[in-house]
This record gives sequence, C-alpha cells and structure tokens, in this order.
Amino acid sequence: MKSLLIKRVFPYKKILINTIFGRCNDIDVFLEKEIYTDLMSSQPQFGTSDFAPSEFKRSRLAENFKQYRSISPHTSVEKRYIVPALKGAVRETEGLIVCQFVPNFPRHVTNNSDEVTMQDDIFPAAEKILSDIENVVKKNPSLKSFEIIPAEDNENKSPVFHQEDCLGLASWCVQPLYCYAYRRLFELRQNKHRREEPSTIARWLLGALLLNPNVTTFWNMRRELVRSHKLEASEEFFFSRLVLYHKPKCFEAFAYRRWLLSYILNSKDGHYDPESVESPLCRELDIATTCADRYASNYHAWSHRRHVITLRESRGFAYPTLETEWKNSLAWCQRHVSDYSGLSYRQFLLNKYMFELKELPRESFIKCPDVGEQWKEELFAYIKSNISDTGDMHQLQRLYDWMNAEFRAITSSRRRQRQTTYFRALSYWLEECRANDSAICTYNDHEALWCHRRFLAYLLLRFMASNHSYHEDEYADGRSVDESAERKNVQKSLTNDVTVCHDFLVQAFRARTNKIADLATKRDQHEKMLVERFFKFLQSIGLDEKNTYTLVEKV
Amino acid sequence: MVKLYAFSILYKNPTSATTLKAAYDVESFSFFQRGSVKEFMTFISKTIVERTQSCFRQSVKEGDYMCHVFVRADNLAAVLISDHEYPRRVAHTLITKVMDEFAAKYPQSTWETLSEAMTDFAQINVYLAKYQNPNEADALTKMQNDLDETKIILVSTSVLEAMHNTLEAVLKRGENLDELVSKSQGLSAQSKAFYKTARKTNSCCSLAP
Repeated sequence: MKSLLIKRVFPYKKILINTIFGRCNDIDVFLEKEIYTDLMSSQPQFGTSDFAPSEFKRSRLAENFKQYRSISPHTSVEKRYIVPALKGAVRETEGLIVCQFVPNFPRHVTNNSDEVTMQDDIFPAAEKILSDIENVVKKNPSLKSFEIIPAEDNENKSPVFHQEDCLGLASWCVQPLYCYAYRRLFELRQNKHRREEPSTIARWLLGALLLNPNVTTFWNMRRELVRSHKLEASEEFFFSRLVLYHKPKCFEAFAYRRWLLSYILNSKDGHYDPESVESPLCRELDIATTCADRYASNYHAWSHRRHVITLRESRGFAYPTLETEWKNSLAWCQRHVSDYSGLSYRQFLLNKYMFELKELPRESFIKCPDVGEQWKEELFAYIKSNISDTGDMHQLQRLYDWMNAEFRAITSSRRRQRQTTYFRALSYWLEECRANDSAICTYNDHEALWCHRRFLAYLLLRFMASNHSYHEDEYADGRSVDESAERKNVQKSLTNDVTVCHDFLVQAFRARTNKIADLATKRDQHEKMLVERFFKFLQSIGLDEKNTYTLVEKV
Repeated sequence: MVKLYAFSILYKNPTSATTLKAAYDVESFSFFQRGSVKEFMTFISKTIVERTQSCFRQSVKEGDYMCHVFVRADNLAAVLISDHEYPRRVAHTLITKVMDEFAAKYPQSTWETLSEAMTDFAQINVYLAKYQNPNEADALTKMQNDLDETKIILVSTSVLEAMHNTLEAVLKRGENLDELVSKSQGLSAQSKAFYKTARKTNSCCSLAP
C-alpha cells in the first residue's frame, strides 16, 4: 500500500502529484478540500511544452481522468480512501510527478468498503512470510543464493521456496512485503520511544534488505544490533552473502561486510583462524568472485577484493596466499575477456608483486633451489622464440651463457636473493604478457585486451628504469678500498648485462606485438583502429621502433 | 564471459525440427531459473533451425546470447548457444565436428524416427564441457606461434558471411518472438512468466525487480 498526496491542481489544470513512490498498484490518496473542489470543477487539459502526450495518449489521459473523477464524488474530504491504482506513465518535472490514471481495483478491495483502517491488515501474511524466510536463513548457513521467482498469482501457496541451498521468493509478494517492512522500520526509527523486540526488528530488516539492499539506514540499524550483541556477527556474513547474490553490485552490502570484518578481527573473542584456508578473508575473495561473475564490470566487487588483499597485508595473514590469488584472478580474466575491471585488478596485483612486495609470494617454490634458474629459462625461451628471425641470436646465446655462469658463481646469499627477486618480478610480467598474447590471438576485437597491453608495455619500461638504480645501490656500500675496484668491475659488467637483457626483452616484446598486430589488423576493421592507437601509445612512451634502446656493447 | 550454454543436434523436417540430442550448462544461472533457461534454449534452438535453410551456417544474436547454427544438406542440424565473446570460428568448428561424429554413429535413415530419449550420444556433454575453454580445447585456435592461421580465420569469416543476424531478422515476416513464446507448447507457465519478466527488465535472464 502506498500513499499519495495530491498537492494542488495548478491553474492550468494539469494534475501534478507529488508522490513518494513510482509505479504502484493501490494508493491511498489524501485530498485537500480545495483540491477536491478544484478537481470536481476542472476540465482536464494535458500537455505543456515539456510534456506533450500524443493524441492517443491524450485521449487516454482524459478518459482516465474522467473515470477517476467518477469515483471521487463518493469520497468525503479529509478521510483516507482507496482510489484506483495510478499506473503507467509517470514523469517527473521539477520534483512533481505527473501521473497517468489507470483504474485498477485490487482484488481485496470492493467498491463499497473503500475505507481502510489499518495499513497492516492489508497484507496479513507479511509476518508469516518474513519468519519463513528467517527460519530458512537461520537453519541453513550454507545457503548460497537468493532470487525472486516470477509468479503473478499466489495460488494459495507459500511464496518461500527452499531447495538445495537456494532460496527463492515469489514475485507477487515482493511489493507488499517490502512496503510492510519498510513502513514498520521507519515508524520505529522515527519514534524514539517505541520499543520493539530486537528479534522482530532483525526480521523486518532481513525482509527489507533482501528485497532492496540500497537503504543505508537499514544497514545501520543492523550494525546497531550487532554492536549491542543482539545479532551474532558471524551469522551476518551468511545473510549479507545472500543479499550480494541477489544484488551483486550493492555497495552498502560490501561496506557492511568490510565493517563486519574489522569488527570480528578487532574483537578479542573471535572464533576465526586467520592462518587457515577457511579464514574470513578467503571467504571474502570467493564472494567477490561470485559477484564479479554475476555482474559485468562490477567495480564494487573488485574494490572489495583490493581491500581484502590490503587488509591481509596490513594484518600479516598468510592466507589467502598471494600465489593462489594470482592464479585465481588470471583464471577469472581468461573467462571474461572483455571485462576490464578484472584486468585492472591484475594490474594492481602486478604493481604490488613486482615493486612493492618485500616478502616472497612464491615462497613455497623458493625452497627448490633451481626456481630462479627456471624463471630465467622461461624468460630466455620467450625472448628466443620471438626474435629468432630478426635479432642477434649469437649475442643472445652469449648473454645466456654468461648469465648462467654468473648465476652459478654467485655464492653470497644476499646477491643470489637479489638475482632471484629480479627474475621473479620478471616472471610475473612474462606470465601476464603471455596470457595477453594468447587472449588477443584467440578473441577478436576486444579493446580491454589492447588497453591491458599498454599497461604491460608501460610496466616493462618502469621495471627497467627501477632496475638500473637497484644494482647501483647494491654496490654503493663498498667496505674497503681495494675491494671497491674489483666491485666496480663486477658492477659494470652486471649493469651492462642487465641492460642487454632488457634490450632483448624490449625487442622480443616488440616483435611479439608486431606479430599479433599483424594478425589483428587483417581480421577486423575495428581492431585495426585499436592497434593503431596502441602503437601511438608505444610511441608516446618511447618504446616504438624508431626509438630503439641503445645497444650496449657486450662485456 | 566466455561461455557455452547449450548444444543440441536436431533433425529438420519439412515443417518442424525435432531434437535428437542436447546438452546444457546452466550452472551460471540462479537455481530457480535453470529449468526455464533450459526450456528456452531448446525452444530457441528449434525455432532457429526451422527458419534456417539447409546448407547454411549462421550466427544469430539474441540478447546476451549468440546462437551458432548449421543445417547440413541432409537436414541434420546443430545449434550451439554461447555468449558474445566465444570465438565464432571455434563454435562452428565444434558444430561441424560433432555433427560428423553423430552422423557416423546414427545413419541418415534413422534420424526421422529417432527421439531424444532413445539417442545415446554422451560425447556431446563432454564436448560442451571441454570447449568451455576455447584455447585449450581446440588445437586449431593455438595460433600464437603460427601466423598461417590468419588465413583460416579470414577464410572462415568470408564463408560465414551471414553473421550478426539478430533473431528478429531470422524470424519469418509477421512473426514475433513474444507471440511464438506465448503460443509455444514446449514452455511451461513458469518459463513464460520468466520470459515476461525478463522482457520487462530488458535483459535476458536477470531478474532485477
């Protein structure tokens, strides 16, 4: 049941109605005396400069207006009456809503009994349905989905469906149920003296939030209940998960979950184990994945994910491991090739893994002594496969041999670690670059993929720049004089070595880009434009053909 | 999303089409929608095959979905329903391949009398699962290192000239999907209600109230 207040009838006799709701079935109307008389005496005229209905619509409007008036004479002023539903064209002009009147008698109201005493009687089943839903949610913590099932008639059946961890609600009861819960909650909120059982409030909140989670007030009411220990924080996760299944883009629900996370992580008696795969953070990542699956370009889901990873870092948790996160997000991106939000998250991870991380995310592999070597092999394999027809294979081979020798010669654990870190960082870049290569080859014409490639080019440049200074740092702290001369030599060779390696890498990247660009321009006109833009970008960052990286003479 | 939803093999009679075998992957839909989604995919597959001439390949767009269809000269037909991102070439490769296999197992003479329950052709499920990842499944798509592959793409796109059709274009003159749906016997009342809601919210299978 919705209320509608007819504010006034303007001199030009257009009916302007200020309503708090949009389209609805039955509406009770409050008529002010002057309006009533005005309405009775006026002739309807429709259409102004900004709202000019077609001839057909105009006649419909006039007819509806007549029908509306034919009911009104029975109503006495200042009383509440059921008036036929206002349905159809609703249009807002300067805060006023113009309604088209379409009579539509609800089944439970006869023409005679137009007086409505209590709002609650209109939908007596509301409490029953709400408690049904609540029971299902409480009894089954592994419930994973909530949805609305279209059904026009109630057929005397319960609207609550529960099958295999899935909850469904028939669509006919959505509107009355929500209106009921909404009205009750706002009555409570506005009347401070009123007391209500917390469990009842929680039930209303459950109903209202499942159906429309975009009301911050309701979430705040739930927060109050949690804080006063009327609701169990851990159970709140189950409930908000349902909400997010139904509305995967709901910011309020994500915000609530973040609040819950910090709430349980800060509380001392938390029953969670941050060091297990079952940690609350892992669960958050699962939910973010589901939401991203269910709604394309879901910004809120990805920013939630970023938040969780940052939280993991700041709290120093071991789980979720960065390696699984790396793998899972790649798998997601391969399933959603045109969704840039996922790629943007990969960029966030790449930035973190290549530049910021002090810890080694590939720790589990570090135990294996050859892992650095393996990364190096992969890197060389990539370079080799791409520049075989253009580049200087001889020089590459020499560099490769030299690096191997150097790799074995290193005895100091610190330097070895540096070297491993270097190849580790590049291994991430390489993996992402390969994924991008193959995605562009397989899928025609996706701008997201080309934009991601831009980022990869930029990242390569940034990495090379940061690695020049990095090696100089390493040797800056020479301890004795005669050692420093020797060190200088080593430094020089190493710097050269790194530069040559970078040079080859750039060559390989460019050759690869040329190949796939060739493929792309041939197969699709639109993609050709994307490729041209990509090359323009390369030029602007100085990674194009003309701006060849200066080859440093080999040691 | 790169996804295959349904794969069905049909026989095209002069007047109608019968499903000989079908496989579905509707896990990505919410639980209570799945039954209706299946019914719909069957319905759409039949509708499209009935309106495609023999010896004709096409990819038909309907909302968020792409229906790849091929009707052979001997009136055996197959429809693969995917999303927009699934590579068309791979889709048509799969269709051709599976139809050949099916025809090898059941000779042409049996098609007319065959019904879906009688047919034993479990490979179709395997293919549907395997081809979810077009990259791993199809050796032909591995063209990273092999630029000759471009030719295949170019050739195949020129063959498949009739792309980017919409379902409206495929329907015969005077037909419209809403009417076909409401007349259809194969769709339950529940599915019709789903369809109506989905039309109203203007997106195929999401039900934002």
